[in-house]
Amino acid sequence: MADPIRKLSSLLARLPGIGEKSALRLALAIVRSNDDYCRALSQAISDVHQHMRLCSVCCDLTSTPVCEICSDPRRDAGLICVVSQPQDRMAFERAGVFRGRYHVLHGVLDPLAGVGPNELKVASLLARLQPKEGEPKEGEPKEREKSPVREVIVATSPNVEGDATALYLAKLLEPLGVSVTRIASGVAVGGELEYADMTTLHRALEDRRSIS
Amino acid sequence: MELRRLTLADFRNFRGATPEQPGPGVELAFGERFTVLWGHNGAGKTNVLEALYLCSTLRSFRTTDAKALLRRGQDHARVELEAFDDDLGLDTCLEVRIDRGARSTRRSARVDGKLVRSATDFYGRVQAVLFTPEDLGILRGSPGGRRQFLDRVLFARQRAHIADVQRYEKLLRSRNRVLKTDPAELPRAERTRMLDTYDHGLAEVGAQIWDRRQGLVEDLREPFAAAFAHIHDRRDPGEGGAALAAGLAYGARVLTRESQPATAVEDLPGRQQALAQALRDTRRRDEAAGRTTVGPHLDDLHVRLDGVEAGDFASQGQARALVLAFKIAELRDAQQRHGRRPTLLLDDVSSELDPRRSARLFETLAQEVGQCVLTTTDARYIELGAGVERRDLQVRDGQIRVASES
Repeated sequence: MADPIRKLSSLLARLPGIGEKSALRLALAIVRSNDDYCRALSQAISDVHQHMRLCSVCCDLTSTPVCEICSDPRRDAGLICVVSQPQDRMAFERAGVFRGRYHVLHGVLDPLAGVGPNELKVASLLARLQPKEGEPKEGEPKEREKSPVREVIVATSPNVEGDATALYLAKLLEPLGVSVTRIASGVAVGGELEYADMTTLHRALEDRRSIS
Repeated sequence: MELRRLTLADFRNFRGATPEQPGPGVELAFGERFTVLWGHNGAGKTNVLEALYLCSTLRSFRTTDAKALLRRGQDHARVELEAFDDDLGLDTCLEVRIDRGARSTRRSARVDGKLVRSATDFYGRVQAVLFTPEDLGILRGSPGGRRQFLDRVLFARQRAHIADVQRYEKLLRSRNRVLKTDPAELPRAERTRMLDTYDHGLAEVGAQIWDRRQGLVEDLREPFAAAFAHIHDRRDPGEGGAALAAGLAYGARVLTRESQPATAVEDLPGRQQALAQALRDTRRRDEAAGRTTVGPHLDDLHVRLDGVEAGDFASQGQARALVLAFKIAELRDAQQRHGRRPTLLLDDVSSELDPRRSARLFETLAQEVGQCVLTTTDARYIELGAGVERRDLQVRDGQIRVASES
């Protein structure tokens, strides 16, 4: 391609949320910016690709073999919050309300898009739930070892794919004796009831709970 | 809601403002009760009904392509409906615009000049029940057409039904995809677990759909039989005194299978249980077939005459009477639920009915209907009887003029 600006802008336009016009504007801004900025930007882009990997425990994006949260002893290892993508984990962390650990699936179950359990980080979740002790000895009655995890909270979005993913995990984890829960869905806190849409209201009514 | 005036600008064959003819477009005023649009084929009668239906549902009943609604060579069309809102005691103005842009053609809706962003907020402000000659295909056509027919009535009754139908379809396609997956790619245990997952969702949403359709059929059964008896008069000498009773039943595939559930299925939890059981029972067969062979996506609406499936033997005239009886039942049901009668839109209703039946039909309509807009090729076909207010409008090449008024 002869024109470097067009080359850059069409590369940028491949990114999500960026149309052709925005891409061209970004490309022109990069052309006009000073050398230091350009060097820092290109360095950052190549660094991100070289150094970011998946945490060997929770599959979140990290620059270390095991991510910060998984290596933090103050976080409750008996509680795992399963999310579909890193953004969701970041949202929980921003809120600062969860003291357990995470597991990132990198997608949701959607056979129509060719996403089955093998395409998701399900196997590594299963591995985390296995009892730590060695295998039961031969001849002895099989005694179920307790999983180090008490509860798995499935925090996928409340839509067809997210609900199916939650249900699938519940069925998969049932034999392990780990309690599987689903985050609540319904009326937004601090929002006005009158602005809630009908599907949300329907769900909020179905999932109502008794006070006290 | 009582319809007052309609303005059509560059909608279908109705022109907007031109240098020779300034003004907002083609206008017409409705009668308080019956508005009869008459004219030759292709004059634009049905286009008027289409515009009214658009103001009720934001959709056309003829096309899903918004471009088709634009007058040839035009990029913008406008439909404006002035109506009297009986609840508010005020006139209100609904407007739908169709604008062709560089990439797509968009519809937008306004109420009293204010843009309405959500289609569901606009939907149903004008409640309308529509009859078109295409509806006659329902009886003889596929069960799919009849299910759609029921669902469309349910959308007007309960908006949540739309979301549930879409959810069900997605779950169904997902389950079918798992059923079709090559066993070599998907281990047995995994497949079972995924099917369990989708069965759970299908039973939950499917039972909702089944329950609502069943409820609708039960609500309409009596008014439907009554309306049919009235249009298709039993004392009619031509029938030799034989009474033809029209019946309506919802056929759930779950219940017609060999292995019927032991307990009666009467409520939502019961239906969910029966559906879940049926999905479990048919799984092996489904795996062989590569698709889901039980559930509300295969149910049917049975319309019967004296207990026999009407699609098999009803004459054209009887079929028309049956479909119209259904529409009248729908109208009556809506009135009971909302206290308001929807507007009835009838496209080319009187052809194929003999004069006696036609008279009975209009007699029934005059009793049952509040406001009605209908089309015909000849105003003489429409005999409403003395004392029934009517306004006749002649439609000709995209022009509308008042023909007579009573």
